[in-house]
Amino acid sequence: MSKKVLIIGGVAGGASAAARLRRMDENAEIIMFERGDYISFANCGLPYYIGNVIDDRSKLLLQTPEDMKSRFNVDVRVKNEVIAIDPDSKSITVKKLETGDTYEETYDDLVISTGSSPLKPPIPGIDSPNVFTIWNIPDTDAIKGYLENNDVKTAAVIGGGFIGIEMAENLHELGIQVSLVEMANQVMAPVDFDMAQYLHKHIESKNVDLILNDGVKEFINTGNKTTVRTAGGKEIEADIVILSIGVRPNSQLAKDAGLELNDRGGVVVDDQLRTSNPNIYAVGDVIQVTDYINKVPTMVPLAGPANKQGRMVANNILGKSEKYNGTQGTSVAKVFDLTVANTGANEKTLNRLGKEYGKDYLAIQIHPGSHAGYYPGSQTLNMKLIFEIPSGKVLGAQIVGGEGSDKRVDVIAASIRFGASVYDLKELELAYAPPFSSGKDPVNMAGFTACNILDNDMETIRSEEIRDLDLDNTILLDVRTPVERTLGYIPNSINIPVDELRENLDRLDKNKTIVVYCAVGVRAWVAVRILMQNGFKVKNLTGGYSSYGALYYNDSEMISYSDGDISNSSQTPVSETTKSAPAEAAHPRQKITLDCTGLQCPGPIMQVYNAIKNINDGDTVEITATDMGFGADIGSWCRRTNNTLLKEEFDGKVTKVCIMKGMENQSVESASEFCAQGATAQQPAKEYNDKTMVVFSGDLDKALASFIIANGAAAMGRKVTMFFTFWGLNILRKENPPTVEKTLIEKMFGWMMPRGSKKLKLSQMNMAGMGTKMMRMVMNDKNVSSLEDLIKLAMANGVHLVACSMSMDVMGIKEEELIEGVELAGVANMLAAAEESDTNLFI
Amino acid sequence: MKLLIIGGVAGGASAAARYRRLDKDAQITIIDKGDFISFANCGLPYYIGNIVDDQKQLLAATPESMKESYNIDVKIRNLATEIDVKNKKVTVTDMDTKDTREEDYDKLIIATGSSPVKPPIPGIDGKNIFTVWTIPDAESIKDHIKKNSVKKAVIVGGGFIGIEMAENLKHLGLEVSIIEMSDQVMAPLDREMADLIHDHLKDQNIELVLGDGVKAFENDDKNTTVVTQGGKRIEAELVILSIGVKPNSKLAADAGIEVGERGGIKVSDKMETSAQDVYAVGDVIEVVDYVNKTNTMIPLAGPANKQGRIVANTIAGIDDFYSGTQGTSVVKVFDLVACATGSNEKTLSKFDMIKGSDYETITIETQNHADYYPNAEKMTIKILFNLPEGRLLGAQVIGGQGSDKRIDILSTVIRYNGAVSDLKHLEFAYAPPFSSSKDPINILGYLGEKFF
Ligand SMILES: Cc1cc2nc3c(=O)[nH]c(=O)nc-3n(C[C@H](O)[C@H](O)[C@H](O)COP(=O)(O)OP(=O)(O)OC[C@H]3O[C@@H](n4cnc5c(N)ncnc54)[C@H](O)[C@@H]3O)c2cc1C
Ligand SMILES: Cc1cc2nc3c(=O)[nH]c(=O)nc-3n(C[C@H](O)[C@H](O)[C@H](O)COP(=O)(O)OP(=O)(O)OC[C@H]3O[C@@H](n4cnc5c(N)ncnc54)[C@H](O)[C@@H]3O)c2cc1C
Repeated sequence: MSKKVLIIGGVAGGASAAARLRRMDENAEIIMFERGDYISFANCGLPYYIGNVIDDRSKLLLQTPEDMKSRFNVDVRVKNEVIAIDPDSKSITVKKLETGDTYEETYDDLVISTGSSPLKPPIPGIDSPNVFTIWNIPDTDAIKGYLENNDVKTAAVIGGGFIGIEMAENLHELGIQVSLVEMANQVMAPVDFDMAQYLHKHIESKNVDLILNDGVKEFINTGNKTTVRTAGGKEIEADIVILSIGVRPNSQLAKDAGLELNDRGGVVVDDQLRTSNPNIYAVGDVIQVTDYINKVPTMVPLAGPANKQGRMVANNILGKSEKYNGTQGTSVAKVFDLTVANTGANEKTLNRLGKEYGKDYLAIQIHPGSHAGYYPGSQTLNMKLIFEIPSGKVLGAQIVGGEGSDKRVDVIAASIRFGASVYDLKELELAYAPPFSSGKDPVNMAGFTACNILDNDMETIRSEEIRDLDLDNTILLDVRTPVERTLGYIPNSINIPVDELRENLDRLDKNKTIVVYCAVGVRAWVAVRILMQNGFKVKNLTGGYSSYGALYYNDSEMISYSDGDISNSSQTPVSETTKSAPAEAAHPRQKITLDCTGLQCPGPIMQVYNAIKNINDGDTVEITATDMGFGADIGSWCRRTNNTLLKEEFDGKVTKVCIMKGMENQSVESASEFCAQGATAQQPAKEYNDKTMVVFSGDLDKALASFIIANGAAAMGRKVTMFFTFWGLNILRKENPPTVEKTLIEKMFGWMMPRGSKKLKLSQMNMAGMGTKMMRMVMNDKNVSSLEDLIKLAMANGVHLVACSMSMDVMGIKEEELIEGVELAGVANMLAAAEESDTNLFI
Repeated sequence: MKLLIIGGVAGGASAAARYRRLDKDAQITIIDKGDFISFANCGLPYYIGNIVDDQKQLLAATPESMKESYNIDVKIRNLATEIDVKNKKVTVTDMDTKDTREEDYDKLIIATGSSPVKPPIPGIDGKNIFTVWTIPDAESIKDHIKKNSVKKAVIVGGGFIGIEMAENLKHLGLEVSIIEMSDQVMAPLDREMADLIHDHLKDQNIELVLGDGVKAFENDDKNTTVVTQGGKRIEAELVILSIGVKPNSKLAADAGIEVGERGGIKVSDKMETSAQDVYAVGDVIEVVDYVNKTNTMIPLAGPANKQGRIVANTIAGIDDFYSGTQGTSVVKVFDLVACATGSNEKTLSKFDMIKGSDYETITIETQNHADYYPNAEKMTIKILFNLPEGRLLGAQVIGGQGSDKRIDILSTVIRYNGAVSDLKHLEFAYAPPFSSSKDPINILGYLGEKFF
């Protein structure tokens, strides 16, 4: 006699169970009830459909009821909601949502796979028309429809779990300004705070406004806008709000049927996925599972486990008694250009269960490259491995990094299933060729590092412990090279490069504990071994400054900066080179190109440093790098070392930056031409509307054009700064019209830029059509006749006219020669203005 | 304590660096006959193809940096010619001065690697014929291509170096033919898997000559004509010879150290040779086939590195051992990735294992990630497992992105002596850009159920 099996819920768990049942038993009667319109859809793809990454809606529908019927002979009843289970009579009550009629259906076995639903707490205003949750196809259609029919410029995503982050990313990709509000101190709860910091920094670098440690108190809806008011008093106005603050199991049905639930509402099942009633099984998000690592009950709403359980429950209904051994919580998410992946236990969970760092477990961080550094495109993997002591059993792993993060987590996830220890990780034989890995794969490296600790080769300390370090009894020893300290160092640390350590041991006090760090932990390890063998008490900062800098990236008190010896290298400090610049400028301009792809931090910065050291002020270096940190840090590095960042571009994998040596220098414009940037529109850090213009041309038409644009922009209410350098200065001179200075200009061209300067075409000033538009506006308004009129108008409009003091020196122009109302300043000033501008014109 | 190491690349350099960390006082000396130490030989084909553009990028360390960071003495262009295991001395010739001296040791590590096979085929010493093994090799190939504006190359041997060379030479715009004696390229793969590579190579306009060996090279002033046993004649300005390697074990054998039948130095699981205080690691040793527990030779960088670390631990008295090599490997073949681990069917048949009674295979064609997410790529996975237990014996993956991930997972399972039935329980990271909610590895586990 074949069974009659009813399944409630037709997506991941339910559909898997149905398909498997049919494959195993051709004669069973299988009915699947789904209250929604669709079955077996790809919920995990929904955010990407909203972001147009997945363009075809039909791709999300993996199977239709008709498919299920024809392929598996499963009776699928969509828009049929199960409203009651009666375990005694082994029957359920079903409501047809289209008609409201109800009917009953009996079963031999019942599978509950009702999943979970997004939490919607009773926050005032939560039902506003532009506040959405995302869980199924209708939700997605609603969001997509809203985006299409409204002019959505800003979004607030509430909740920084993987769905929130995927939504933030996808909305961002649509050009929407996104704020992400998270109540906890971190996004992505499955990873620990130290790992989440990498994500925070990255999310912020994408101009997503990340608000942590703050919950929503209220939504105030005014027509098309909703203002999110947080408990901390922040107000974020958004055109759309996405709520993704967690899920709760859909277990009311089970509860009403008297089935056992845990205190979080999860259905309790045995290891064969049977509920407290022997004929009722449950799978997926709705059930409580065993935490595979800690063997305690937990809830892990993920698609992989739901699918596996669905299949297993089918086997068990047909008498197989397979066991579900628990869930590790292996997961992965793409976060803009990074991947975050994890498996097993994190420290937060271990601590909650009373496990202590140093006593029950240890955690290390390493930063290997995704593949051989010399092969293009290698990206850093920030890896954290957690293991039990003293056994070395692997408890969990977390990775935030580039390509190949998911691979390493999967390898460790598999190892955990086999009960592996860190000793096993170092033995794993993984596939190596330069495009894929290194002779020692990152997983091996994690194993080696952990074994070094367990075998007492090395004692470690974590970045988070540095804050409370007893500095009276501890020496913080930085064994990197001095130049790396320009990227930041731990306050109060002393610097002895590892290669000089052997000769400098007498500088260290044997009575104190020495905390050693380098960039990633490798050189520190060499130093630790030297120090240990010389009788010092030593600890290695796990993950080195890379981990430290990430943990404290937004805590200025925990990071000091050195300006290195970059300024010294050019003999005189930069501020003093100002006067001697003309002599320096006599050198032909140089441009150095550096390919630092594949090099990991601090590789790129070292290369930049070395290049800059050997060139003259005003020369430029163009660097391509794949190290994510490089792109994030280079701007501030330039500022601190008094060099000028001319451009920075990122194409998703490679960062390209152009740096000019020096700041207070005459040749920003020519240098920038060197970087093939006749007109540069710098990527603004925030939404700024200000305009900055650098006018270095003395040609009348260009002078006219620059003032016309300036006036136009000022008329549009923009703050405009015009920065005059070189022959552009002539425009501001009192007596002489700029045209008479031709010979001087030609002469200067001669000695300033032997290779000649490319003049700007007008079209290059046509910034996204703005130039022309503004010009026309001014031309119509005013009957433009003379440059003088335009200058007066500009000044009246509040346009700042700034003369470059540096190039005045060069040109031999005195302050008295300039018209009234002109400010004098250096390039730094202009750059400060440029940073707050959305348009920078070089004219 | 004086540690002497012969050979300073993968195995030797790893051993030296590791040993220094364990013993600050030891005198550590590396001698190497080449011009460079610790270089990335695996990067050479990509250096030739200008994918890696700077020779310096291939140098993980230099003699100077070894001295500075590790206080290790490195003597390059020094050839070890004789080992006296009784008196613990090695005879060394400085290749520049031709001076010969003796270096004594307390412990000796032989990490002399392997060398490309150059059989006595007529004409094999022609000036257009190269092997790819060292940086100078790569430089001469690059030079040769530039100076003679080479347009046509023949690659003899379709192993991973041959294939990588084919890709890189093609990348430089050369016309490329591959001649391979067996009926397939990439010996670690089974024939039907290799066919996927054959098709792909042909799609890339690589001329593929299978089942045919080279009989002679006919060199004239400019060109070399490769003449095959089958009578084919292919004229080219460049010939790359990549038909396999042999261990550099003569030094050891001459010293009376025991070597296996294929010339690999025999070592214990602690990397000890038959001579007291002499150890060996890397391509030059015979290893245990992790799956079949027989002796074999597997010249790969990963194992060499690991063995280097183990030998350092052994010498320092730390308990460590090497449990064998699976032969996990991966190679990029233009847009495809070909990977293998453990045994293939050819190996199993050598052990007289019969399909259906002693072992079974499952092959699936699948996608690397959710197919509704853009750019899903096709992937073919084959696994081999024994009967009746189902223990995983080997795997091969050919596909696009994510192929290396799947081979690494399967290699990991093999390391833990896992069975097909374990595959379905493995819990992988899933989001649409990375995988499917039923990862291909899980599917293999499901499909395997029917055999048990
Ligand atoms: C936007 C989004 C992205 C995600 N991304 C990922 C990811 O990248 N990786 C990952 O591992 N997981 C992801 N998940 C989670 C994953 O989708 C779930 O863990 C999985 O779908 C759970 O399967 P389930 O069968 O338990 O429940 P569901 O798949 O949620 O199915 C439950 C079904 O039951 C129906 N139902 C409920 N009650 C009744 C009733 N009384 N009568 C009839 N029908 C009922 C519901 O309508 C629903 O369709 C994502 C989820 C979402 C929403
Ligand atoms: C082109 C190429 C590509 C490769 N790609 C890969 C890959 O993608 N993945 C992979 O896993 N493996 C790859 N390999 C193989 C890998 O490089 C080797 O397995 C590994 O280098 C072996 O390390 P080893 O220390 O045993 O020997 P080697 O690295 O070869 O070092 C041996 C050294 O010993 C020196 N030596 C030998 N005899 C003497 C003597 N008598 N006196 C002094 N010095 C001596 C040699 O000059 C040499 O420098 C590749 C190899 C090549 C050549």
